[in-house]
Amino acid sequence: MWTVLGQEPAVTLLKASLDRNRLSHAYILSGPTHVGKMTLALNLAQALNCQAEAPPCQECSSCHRIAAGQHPDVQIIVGEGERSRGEIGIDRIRSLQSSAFLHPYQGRCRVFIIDGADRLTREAANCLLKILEEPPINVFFLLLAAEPKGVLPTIRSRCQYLELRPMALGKVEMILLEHYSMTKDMAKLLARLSKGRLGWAITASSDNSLLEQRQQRLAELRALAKGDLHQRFAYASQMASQFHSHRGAVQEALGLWRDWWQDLLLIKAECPNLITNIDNENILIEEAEVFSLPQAKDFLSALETASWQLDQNANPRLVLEALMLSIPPWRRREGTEPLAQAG
Amino acid sequence: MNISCLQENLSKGLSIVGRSVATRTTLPITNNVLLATENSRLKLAATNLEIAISCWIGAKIEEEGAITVPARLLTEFVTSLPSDRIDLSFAPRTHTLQLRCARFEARISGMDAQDFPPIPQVGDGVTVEIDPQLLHTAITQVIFAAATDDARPVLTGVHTRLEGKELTLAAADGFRLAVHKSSLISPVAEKTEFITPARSLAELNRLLPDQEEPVKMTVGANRNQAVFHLDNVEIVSQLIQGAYPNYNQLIPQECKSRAVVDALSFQRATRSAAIFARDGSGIIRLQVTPGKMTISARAEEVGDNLGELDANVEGEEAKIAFNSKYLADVLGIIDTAKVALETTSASSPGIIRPLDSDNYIHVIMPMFVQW
Repeated sequence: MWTVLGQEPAVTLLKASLDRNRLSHAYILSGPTHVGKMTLALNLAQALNCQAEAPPCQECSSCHRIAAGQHPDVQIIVGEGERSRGEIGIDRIRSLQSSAFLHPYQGRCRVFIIDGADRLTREAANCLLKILEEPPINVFFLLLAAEPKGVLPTIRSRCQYLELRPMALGKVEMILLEHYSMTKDMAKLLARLSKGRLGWAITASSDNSLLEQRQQRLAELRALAKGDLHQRFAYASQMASQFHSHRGAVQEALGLWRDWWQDLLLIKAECPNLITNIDNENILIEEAEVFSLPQAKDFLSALETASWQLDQNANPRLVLEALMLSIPPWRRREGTEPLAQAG
Repeated sequence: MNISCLQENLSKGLSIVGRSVATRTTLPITNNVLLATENSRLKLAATNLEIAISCWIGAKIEEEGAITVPARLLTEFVTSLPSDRIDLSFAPRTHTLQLRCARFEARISGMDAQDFPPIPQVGDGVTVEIDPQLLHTAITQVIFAAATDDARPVLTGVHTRLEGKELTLAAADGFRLAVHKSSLISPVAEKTEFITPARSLAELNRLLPDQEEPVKMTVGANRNQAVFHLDNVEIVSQLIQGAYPNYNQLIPQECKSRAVVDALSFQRATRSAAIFARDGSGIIRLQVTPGKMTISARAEEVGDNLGELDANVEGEEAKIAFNSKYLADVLGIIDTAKVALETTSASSPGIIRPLDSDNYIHVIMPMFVQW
């Protein structure tokens, strides 16, 4: 049984190739984080090494070991630490290379799962290229990449490309209800927040701190809209100093903020059923009265720009301060009714 | 598990299996050593997924069981203990191994033995028996020629061929080739060829001098693994997949010049030339003239040296240059009194072989130099 959910196209394709014994020696599995890349990769590794008739059975010892990350023939290569920005260095690839030429230890095939093919250093990628060109038999490479553009084009051209897409929100909600026995409200909220990435919803359901952190962040960000310039700049410099050590966290905060403003926009446009932060609907409705539609739209695009600029390695402090300046002023506008209230 | 054994036995066993404990690994449990009771002995095992070594030591077993504990920690602790009886016990619930020896005591947290990668079992396949000392010589004489970098993975292994009553080991790294033939105790049923990692053979080689019984070697039917059975020790090595180059066509079939010299003097002269060659790209020049052979090296702005040996020369005069390391390596392992250097031209490979022996041949690619 393939345990990855909601990735039918990719699974169907892999299954068919597996049945006809026509698997490619290397695949790039791309898709946003938490969409199911690793689960799919592990499933494929299980299918390749499963001892039962309908692989992957999830019951034989081989399947169990692979799922637990303890199979000697399935190696998962991840980046090292936050300091080197999770890059995968050439040493890892060199040791991969020497073990790739040994016969499998226990199973039928050796499978190398490279988690973060977009974070391979240039040297490591070129080293990998060599073995991708002339792979030993019974060796499979599964490259997981959140940003397929970050993978060296020469590597991309030697792998089959499989894209995993986020699921429909309703489907995530249904899976959460059925398989994880959640309350309806919780499932609905997590489905919205996950943006179709089932893995995220599952992690969040077992780890309360994720949701708490989100609430706290939201409170901080909302306070900024009411705060004065001094507070906003203090927050910007705090975030900027965080940026060097924790790139992802800042982008995550911006993403959260973006969702919030998108919700405001949706409420202004009379589409409250589409909002993400459904647990804060009342606050959203309240805030929506403060800002005008153009203001919300402008700030949303300012957020987009800031996030893009940070990706381009602009000075984080400048970008964030500029962003703070474009927060629309907090004043309850009198006499303006929400758009098209009559309709 | 509840057993007792002698400190020296345990320490020795751990040092044997310790050679195969993984150092840098993606599978943390391979840093551990497996302790398990088996047929009223204690089995120690470790693997780095390329080579697995198991060792059995005598122990008094009161209760059966198995556990894995960090190899380095256990080895270092056991080594530090006095030579006395060690009592080992472990509680499955806490995964803690308790050791008691004389007035010392320790508790080491371990991991479940179930999670330890199973030591491969090589059942059916080709089995041969070899005299341990012969095998030791064979491995010693070829293993240094195997490549150490991973650019061409098959060359990091030693090619092994079993045919009739003959065992042929060959190693090459692109600049030199060593081929050794020795005999098996009984003929093999079918011709078998495989590539064993040089690292595994090196580990095997360390244990061979103490070995008395013939070594039993079994190669799995699917050529995945080879297992070497020694007294109380078993080494399982993964085999390298791929096709080994056909090295026989690299061995020159005839030569124009052949010089027979005293092996020890040749080695000594090479060693002194190597001192100068160090600063001169490692080049050693050999010149064969009737009755003698000269060995020289020079380095710009450092100096030069010249050594002369008596030689029994057949055929033409000859000149050839070798890398000093390659020459020193092969002369270091030849155990006959005389060696022969066979050359054809300054640009074709030279052969070094022990005199009066057909079972070893070493081919070295020459270096191109201005004479």
